[in-house]
Amino acid sequence: MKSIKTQSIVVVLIITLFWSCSNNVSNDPAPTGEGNNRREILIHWVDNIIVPSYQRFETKLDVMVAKGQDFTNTPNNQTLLALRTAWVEAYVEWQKVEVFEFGAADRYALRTFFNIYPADVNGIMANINDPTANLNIPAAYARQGFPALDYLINGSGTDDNAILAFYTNHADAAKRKAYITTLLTRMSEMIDNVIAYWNKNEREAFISKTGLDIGSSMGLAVNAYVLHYEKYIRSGKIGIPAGATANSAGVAHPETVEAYYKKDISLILTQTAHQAAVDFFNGKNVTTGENGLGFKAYLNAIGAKDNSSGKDLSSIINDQFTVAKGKIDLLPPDFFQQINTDRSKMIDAFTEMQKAVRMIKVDMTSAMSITITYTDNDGD
Amino acid sequence: MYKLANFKTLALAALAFSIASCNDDDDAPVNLRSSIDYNTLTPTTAYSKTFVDASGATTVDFSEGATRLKMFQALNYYGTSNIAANTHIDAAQFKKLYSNTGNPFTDISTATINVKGAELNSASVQLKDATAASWSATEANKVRSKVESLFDQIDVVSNSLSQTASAGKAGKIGSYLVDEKGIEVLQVIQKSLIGAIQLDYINNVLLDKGLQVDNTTPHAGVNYTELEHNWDIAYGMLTLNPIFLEGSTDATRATVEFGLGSYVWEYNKGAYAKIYPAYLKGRAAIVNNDRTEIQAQATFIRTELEKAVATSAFNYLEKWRTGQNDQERVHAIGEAIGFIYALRFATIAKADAAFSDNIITGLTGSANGFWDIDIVKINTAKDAIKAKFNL
Repeated sequence: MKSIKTQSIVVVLIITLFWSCSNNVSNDPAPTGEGNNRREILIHWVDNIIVPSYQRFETKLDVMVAKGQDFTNTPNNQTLLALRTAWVEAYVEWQKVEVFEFGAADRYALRTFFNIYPADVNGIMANINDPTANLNIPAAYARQGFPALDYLINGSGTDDNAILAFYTNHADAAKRKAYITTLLTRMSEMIDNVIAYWNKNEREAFISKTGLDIGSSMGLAVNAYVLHYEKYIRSGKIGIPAGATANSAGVAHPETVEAYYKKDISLILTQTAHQAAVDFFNGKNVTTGENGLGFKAYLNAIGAKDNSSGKDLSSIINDQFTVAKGKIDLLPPDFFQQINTDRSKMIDAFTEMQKAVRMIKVDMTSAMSITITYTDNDGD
Repeated sequence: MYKLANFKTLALAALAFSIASCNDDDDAPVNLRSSIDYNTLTPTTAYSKTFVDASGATTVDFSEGATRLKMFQALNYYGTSNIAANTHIDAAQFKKLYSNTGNPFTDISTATINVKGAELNSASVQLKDATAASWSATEANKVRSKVESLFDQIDVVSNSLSQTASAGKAGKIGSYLVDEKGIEVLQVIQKSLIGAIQLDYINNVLLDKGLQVDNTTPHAGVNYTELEHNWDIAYGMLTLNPIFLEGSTDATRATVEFGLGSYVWEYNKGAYAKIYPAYLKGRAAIVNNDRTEIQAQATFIRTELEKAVATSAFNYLEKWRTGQNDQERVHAIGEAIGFIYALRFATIAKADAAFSDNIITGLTGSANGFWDIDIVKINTAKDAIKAKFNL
């Protein structure tokens, strides 16, 4: 009996060994032609698009931090206007990197700390009074980043004099200035972290996961890209404020526009974000300005066609992006006012963007054999 | 005489030969059944009809496993239906359902559940003694006590069904009932039991020690061997369907599955379609008394069921990350905590109670639990699961 048991154990061990061997093999597929091509795309994204875009953003962010210091050191009309200008420039540049919410940015949940709006004004005031408040938890997302700064430098008073008084002529003035400093420092540190994480940890892992499965880099990037276009550009910037989404049931919420307190930059933020999504689709190298490896090149390489017209799917998608851009370009700088007077132009833009969503979310992903993993709501 | 002597010699020779062959073949007996060619099995081969005795009668009886699975459905339904109706949850009733005492089960008929109370009440099996059944009595009792303490807890929390929850305050967030730390207790119960009952009993009892049993003679009064029966219980505890996930695609689940079975489809896309064929092949290997193949299929099933639980935990942590409001986040964490608890039964990956408990403490051990969770805590938990299960 003993020998029988020993034999069984040996058999089990052999099976186990064999099993783990075959597992390793399937987890580490030999580089194939397509895998190699995808690796080239991933490298191009990281080296020529993502990291340089973050560096450009960091430059603008650094200016904003410096102007913020000037303002908190000496709050006056001049420093306020300088901070505002730097805030607008950094906010516009942010739109070019928000699309990269995968890899390092996903790990740090970057978007949630930079651009969740509308700002939670009560929460901001509560945090000003409690400098130890935890800024990392979800409840604090809308109390920081660009939207919180929007309130603090554009909305904390009815005019510039009142805003300056908010920081000079009040018992809590010091705490209020300190909160601006806290937010700016935090943004600066987070961008440092994200850039460092791409460079040190993420790059190699990212460019080596060349498959198309759910955990692959292409799978994660496509999901993040489509989610960004659908939820954060189409719905966040246009659909929800204009009451155009299915969930909003026709009720407009103009108070939820991006840059609600500054007001006249909603358009440029949207235009910039939309262009960044188009550029990423076309693999545009941010340094040379030339289109390169990306979704377009990949779709062309695998011969993806539009079913009805037989045209290249990438051309159809680019054409639709152009139509959507045309509708966005018809909008005025101030979405808040536009929604309050005539929201039909906003809805037109939403409708064309929705057509683009269908193309990238359904046609593009099915051509690429990528599974969309995000859902609107949990089934149970 | 001559003939007799000759016969004796022959008989002796035959006896000697058969002893010799016994020695050579270890304990391989003459197979009870006609062997089955593995190549004849397909993903839609019927289970019950394929495994029959000499008279053509099926040797398959899923009822013991299926009864436990239905009890699990009924127990879960007691919680979900009360929360949906905003009615109080009674810990005593939960405990009766758990231990099948005092005729606790009633008829339930919904789109996804169909149980007859009388059938379950009269059954000789229960959930409590099948909980952590692969562990020593002392360790198993800790898990059973933990489950019953969760029943006590949800009883108290359900007093707050009309409240809106916030940090330090029990109540509802959307449709989800949470305790004062923001933990959705019912999800913790449900997902912990997926681990403690389904995963542990299938993997670590039936498909482990349960394989080291007799396969030569039918049980008294039935036409199947103990080994055949153990394999069939292991199937019955995963699914109530004749063919697990029949006709399902990555995008659409075509069968109604409950508990572990539904999460295998949802979060183990690489293997869900291979589970039923593995059950079939392993069962055929039992018919063939092919120990190597039985073990291979058992190991495959165990590995992939564990992986489904691990990826479920991982994905619900991710859903906290992508959740757009407290309702979505609170539900994600309730699910995640339960699945992480369940991972202590993932013996192939060598997870244990300490592994699970450390992750849970890291996530929700602070004063306000869920309400204190941030991306760093989520990443720490995800990294631990990823490393352990090689995701």
